[in-house]
Amino acid sequence: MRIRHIMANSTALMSLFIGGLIGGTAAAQDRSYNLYGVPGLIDTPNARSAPDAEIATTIGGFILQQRGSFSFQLLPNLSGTFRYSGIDQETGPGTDGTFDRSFDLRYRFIEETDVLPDVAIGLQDFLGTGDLSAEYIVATKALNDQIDVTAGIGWGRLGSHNGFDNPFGALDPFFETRPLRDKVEFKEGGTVTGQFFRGDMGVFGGVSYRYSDRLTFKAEYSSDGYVRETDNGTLDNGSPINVGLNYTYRSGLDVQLAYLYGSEIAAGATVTLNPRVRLSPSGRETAPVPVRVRPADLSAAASWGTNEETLIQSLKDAGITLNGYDVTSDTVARVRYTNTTFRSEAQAMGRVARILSAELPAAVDTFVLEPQQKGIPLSATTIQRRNLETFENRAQGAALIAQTSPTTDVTPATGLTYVLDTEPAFTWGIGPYAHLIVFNGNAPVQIDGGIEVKARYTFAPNIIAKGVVRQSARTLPLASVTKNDTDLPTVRTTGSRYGKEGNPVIQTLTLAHYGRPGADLYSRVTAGYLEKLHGGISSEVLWKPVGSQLALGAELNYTTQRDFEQLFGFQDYDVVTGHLSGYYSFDNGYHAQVDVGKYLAGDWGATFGIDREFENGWRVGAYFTVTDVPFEDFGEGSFDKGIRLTVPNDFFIGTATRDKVSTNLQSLQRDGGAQLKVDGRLYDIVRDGHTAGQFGDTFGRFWR
Amino acid sequence: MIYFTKHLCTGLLIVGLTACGPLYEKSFANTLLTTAQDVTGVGGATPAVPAIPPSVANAVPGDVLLVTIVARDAVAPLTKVAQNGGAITWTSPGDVTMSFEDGILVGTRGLTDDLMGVDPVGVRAAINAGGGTAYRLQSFLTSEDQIVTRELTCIVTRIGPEDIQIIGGARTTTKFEEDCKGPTLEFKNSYWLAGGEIIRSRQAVSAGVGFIQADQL
Repeated sequence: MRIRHIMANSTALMSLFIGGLIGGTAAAQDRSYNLYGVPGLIDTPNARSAPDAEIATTIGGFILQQRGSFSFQLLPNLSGTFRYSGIDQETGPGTDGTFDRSFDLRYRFIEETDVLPDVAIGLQDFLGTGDLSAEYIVATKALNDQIDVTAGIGWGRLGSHNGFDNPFGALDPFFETRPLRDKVEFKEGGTVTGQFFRGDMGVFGGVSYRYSDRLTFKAEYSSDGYVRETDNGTLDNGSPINVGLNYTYRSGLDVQLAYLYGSEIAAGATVTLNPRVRLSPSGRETAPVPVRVRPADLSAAASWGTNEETLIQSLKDAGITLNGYDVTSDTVARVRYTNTTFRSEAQAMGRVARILSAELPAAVDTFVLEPQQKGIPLSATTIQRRNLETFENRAQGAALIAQTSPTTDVTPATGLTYVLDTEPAFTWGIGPYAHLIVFNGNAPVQIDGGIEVKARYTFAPNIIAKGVVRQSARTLPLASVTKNDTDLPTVRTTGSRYGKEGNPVIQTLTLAHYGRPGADLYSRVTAGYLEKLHGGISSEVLWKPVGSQLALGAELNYTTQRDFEQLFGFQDYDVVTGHLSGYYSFDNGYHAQVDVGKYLAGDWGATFGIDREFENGWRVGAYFTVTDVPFEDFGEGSFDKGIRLTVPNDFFIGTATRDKVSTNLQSLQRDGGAQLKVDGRLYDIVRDGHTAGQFGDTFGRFWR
Repeated sequence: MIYFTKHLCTGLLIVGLTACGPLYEKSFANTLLTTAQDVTGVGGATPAVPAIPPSVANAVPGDVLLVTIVARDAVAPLTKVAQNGGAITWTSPGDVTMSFEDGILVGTRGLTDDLMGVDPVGVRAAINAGGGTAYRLQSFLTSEDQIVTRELTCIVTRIGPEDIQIIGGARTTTKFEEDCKGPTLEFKNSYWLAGGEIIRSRQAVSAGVGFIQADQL
């Protein structure tokens, strides 16, 4: 248990125990990261888990091996790591280096108690060519608040120094030898190599000593012999003992320094971030207007009238656009609006409700509130006005509103008086853009940047034309994507040729229509230059009841590949693609998506994705696609896979905004298993307004 | 000013520092730029000297609450904006609101870590009775947009007479303390009463904000 003292005032002590969130343990633990970007000693792992949901990015290594790692604590005891390593002089002094991508998984199956240590099992670089592959079982115990000791046994790399025979060999000779990593055999990578826990075993371990809150010293005995590197003369391996330190520069930024194998200086830096810890939990947006309580004597308020212009302006001041309303009934007001400001539709609804309490006649006792996005209503929540008046300042105010205010699908729009859009139909912007291209061939990180012009014309709330024209500031072409030696149509691998001539390019130019073809049904049709490489028409239907954790979708596209000059022209290749999609939101915060259908290169297959979703808008996930393109034809990587991350902007900037940033870290972009990229797919838009979705998940913000 | 802003925009655009046009107003980069301007004081408009708003200057006695966020050393005059039963909501010039029910803080909005709602069962009654036990439910928003409600048992004690300085002069008051304890939260509030009315209080908001002091002017 950790106690946070809020005030250092003798008469006023306010403290908050942050148990549960940070997790309680018997003694303080060393949770620093190692050069592989996982909790550990220096070059070897330990059994610690990072705090739940922590995201850590580590750049570390030494001259011969530089590693960029991205780790995520998937569950309190399960973590995953994606790593991109640069290995210099791969086959001996003066030879070329190589880049290698790797994935790790670690599961802590025993949690530390006063008696027991943390014990974890890990797979390091378990997919792909396996340059760094190792498996281990490791235990770590805090002796006191300052000293952690670690001991483990390892296979693969971690069994390569002073290894001994694998005792499992007695059970099955299968375990006696580890198949040699054969670059020819495994050249495609991406597949499970089938060598887990095989071959010689080694013993590793070490000690970390917390000198102060900021400084930790570490010493380890590494069982990684760097056999290949030592044999080919690139590493002078003088000792298995490594020493180093970890220094916490500030919370969230650690630096590491170490002396490895008696000859190498190593350094690293780790940046950590936790989606579950926001600097300003309630946000920095200004206060809503308070509820206006009707006088007990309703006749005194009979003169309150509804002034459309005042209502429009009050909502606009709150960042909300009024789309339509129906106040023909004396007692029920139905209001349809678009929230352009708040990430949480619940927060927007809370503000709309309070504004209505100030603007509508006292006789109106029921509000039916219908949030709308892209011109389509997402749900209808019926709130009793007296509940707003009663629950405003109550401790359980949000829960009480949720319990007493049913949310359903909207009824047809008949009866609604539409409000003329006061927003200009045409809107525009000029600004810089920057696009990070990661893991592109042999360049770990490249930046494309320049100036872009965006424009949007809204014909109707649900019919939107928009486009982006870009001028790249780059004069040199981007490093070409890994050469294409397969027979597949080049629907993705020629991406770097687009806009290479240096002319302004049309990034996208589309016309989209959104609709509600029936109860629980949503539709989208988008036509035009849909993405950088493809243009055409994309259509989609989604079934998603307001309270359903399950949603089903169908998408059908006809597209033609665009010319490399990325203006109006097209190439010869055209294709019909489409998917049936199933989405399911689990109660524990995990979300699964399966897409089955035909991909851009004409291949058939399925994409599986799993994401951990946080109510505050963060999303961290992974996906893979397998299609009827055989692994050997797919090219390096064998099949498409990657990790993805969505970060809500308001998490950092504090003020309300619906903007978010989504990033895909694809290990390799190939032509197989490629889906069309089209902006404004339905699922995320629709779910934002559903009780089984962000509206319900963020209902705590109703009164904020 | 519009002319200046427009040209500032063009100039900054050329050096790639900012973005222009309605579609970029809320962009992350723009916000970062604004934040940087706030922090460094460079590039942004000079903030006006905080003035006493007319609503405060013209207010009648009893209609202004002078609130200090103790840990931030920030002071603002708050004016009445709404009444809901026994709860009065006050608003600051910076659009922060605070609601007090019979003098007991029951909510804040617009702070980084708001007090989302309070059920103060018997707090005011215990003060009126010269001491006693009360119960509270206090709610906060978590980083994950969930409401957490803390249960507290509070002992209200009459400390005794105390002379305090409030704008407008010295006042003789009776001081009360409310010592609240719960499994995950504890704090101590103080109240200074004159003529049966709380004219000054020091009350807990949240872990992130700390305490406020509110003076009735």
